[in-house]
Amino acid sequence: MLDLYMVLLLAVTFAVFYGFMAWCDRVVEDTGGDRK
Amino acid sequence: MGILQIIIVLAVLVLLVKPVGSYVYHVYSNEPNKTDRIYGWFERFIYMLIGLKHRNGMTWKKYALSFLLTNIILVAVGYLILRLQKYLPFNPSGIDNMEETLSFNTIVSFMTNTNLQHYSGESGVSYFTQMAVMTMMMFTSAATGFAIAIAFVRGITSRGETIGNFFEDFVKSHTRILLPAAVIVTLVLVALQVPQTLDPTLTVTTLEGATQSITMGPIAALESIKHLGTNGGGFFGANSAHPFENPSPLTNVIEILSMWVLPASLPYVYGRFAKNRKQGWVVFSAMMTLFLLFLSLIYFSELRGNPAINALGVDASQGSMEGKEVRFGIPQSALFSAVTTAATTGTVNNMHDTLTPLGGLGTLGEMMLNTVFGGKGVGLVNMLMYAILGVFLCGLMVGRTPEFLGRKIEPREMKLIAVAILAHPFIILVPTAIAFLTDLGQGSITNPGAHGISQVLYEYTSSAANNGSGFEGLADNTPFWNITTGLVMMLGRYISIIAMLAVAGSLVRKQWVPETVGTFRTDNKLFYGILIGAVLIIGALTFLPAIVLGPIAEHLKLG
Repeated sequence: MLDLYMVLLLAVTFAVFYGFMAWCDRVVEDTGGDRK
Repeated sequence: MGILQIIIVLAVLVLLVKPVGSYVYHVYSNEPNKTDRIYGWFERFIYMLIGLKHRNGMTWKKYALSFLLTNIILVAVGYLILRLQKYLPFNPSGIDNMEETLSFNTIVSFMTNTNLQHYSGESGVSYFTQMAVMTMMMFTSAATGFAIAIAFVRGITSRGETIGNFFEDFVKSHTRILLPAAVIVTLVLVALQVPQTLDPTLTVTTLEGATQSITMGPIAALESIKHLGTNGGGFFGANSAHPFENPSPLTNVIEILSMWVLPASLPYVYGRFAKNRKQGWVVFSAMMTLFLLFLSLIYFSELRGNPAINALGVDASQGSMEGKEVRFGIPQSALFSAVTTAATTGTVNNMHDTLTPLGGLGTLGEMMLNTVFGGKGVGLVNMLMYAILGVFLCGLMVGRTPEFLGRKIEPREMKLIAVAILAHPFIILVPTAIAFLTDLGQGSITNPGAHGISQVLYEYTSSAANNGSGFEGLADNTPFWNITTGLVMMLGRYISIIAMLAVAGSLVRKQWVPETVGTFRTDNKLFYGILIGAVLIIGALTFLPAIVLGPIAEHLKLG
């Protein structure tokens, strides 16, 4: 059972990093400034 | 004599930076060179095996995703091996499967280049696990760090949409740098009496007639990549203090140089990519200045000895030798400690828990800054992050749009850099506070008072900086510490890497701004001073309250 929790913890953490990557992408693509 | 030993090692390092840096530059520059003839056929075979037909450049997002997915697969395979090692081959001592939370901690630890070992190597893992998980991940985590650093450097020094191909960089890091270097260092260590065998544990009769078990194994192979990859996880619990891992002062110097030379050569690589080598030397000089500050703090603190022990009438002429190996003495112990926490390797040839309070502060400080050479690749990325921050601050002061290497630095880059810089203290100080507030955390502290604070602070700092050394008085093999340090290691590794790849992806697409007389130069002495100032003011001040409560309070109590 504890194995399941550990695997779940790893999966959730990597999902958080994927979400963070998506947020970074939004920041990079932010058109608030010009691209020059 | 002690200082002379240190100066000789420093001189050898500086002499190696340019040739090693040139070699590394040619590996990743993708310009045809002589190494293609040696390694090209082998790499093409690997590309065929992994189905990599076209080695096209990747956007930052695709690069980050490739890196993340590769890590996920390696973590899954490694976790399975740790949980099933009892049933796998090369387990002559019949070592049992690793406990669940310890497996989580261990696999995260090796994947993130931390090697924070909450188990003891000789009793916790089989030979198969040492080779298939520990040694293998020592290669992959170091190669990942290299790939990230090179991708970031490409992003800030070139133009286009892409920052390289992760799989190509990852494979080349193995085939052209880590594997050849590991073979050479392994053979040298074997020649210098480091064991390399698959024989089971030796049972011998001591001079007193008792029987003793002596653990052996493929030590030299692990020892070489342990240092070359700035990994730090030892074959034995005592790590490089163990005579099988580090038998003599000569092997000690080889281990110091092998963990230091690749991170130290990366600023030169950056200078080559920027087509302005002075840029690289400015970064190298800033790193070396900070390193010498911390080395001096550790060396002279240990040389002075422990006033409390000196007051007992113990001969203090050798300095504070508690927890140190006589064959290394103060100079080679202090240098090893300074390098292992600067390059965030985490290997130890003396017990950091027994360093004097200010000596311990020196090792803590290097990990808190995380830019003093730093781990494989990520140290350079962190330092360049501070370089961009320094340019931004100077731009604010003179009322001019900041530019770095001909690109405008805009709010989007600063937002990402701010997240990366602030994440480091956040993931150290918050878990430290939680550990003090809970019985689960407090129960592992073996030293009451200021040193107990240092123990906890060191554990989370080492995890966040992906260092892996510890104040081993902390009883840290419990579910609480296994899980919390595991999460800190992951956050410390991935948050800054993803944010900095995003910065690289943003900068690579920007138009060049022509240099004018008003351009703020980043290749001179003024910027060298600004870079050191930015690191110390932002990095060090963040942690000042915590270190006052820990090592500084302990030092003042010693008198």
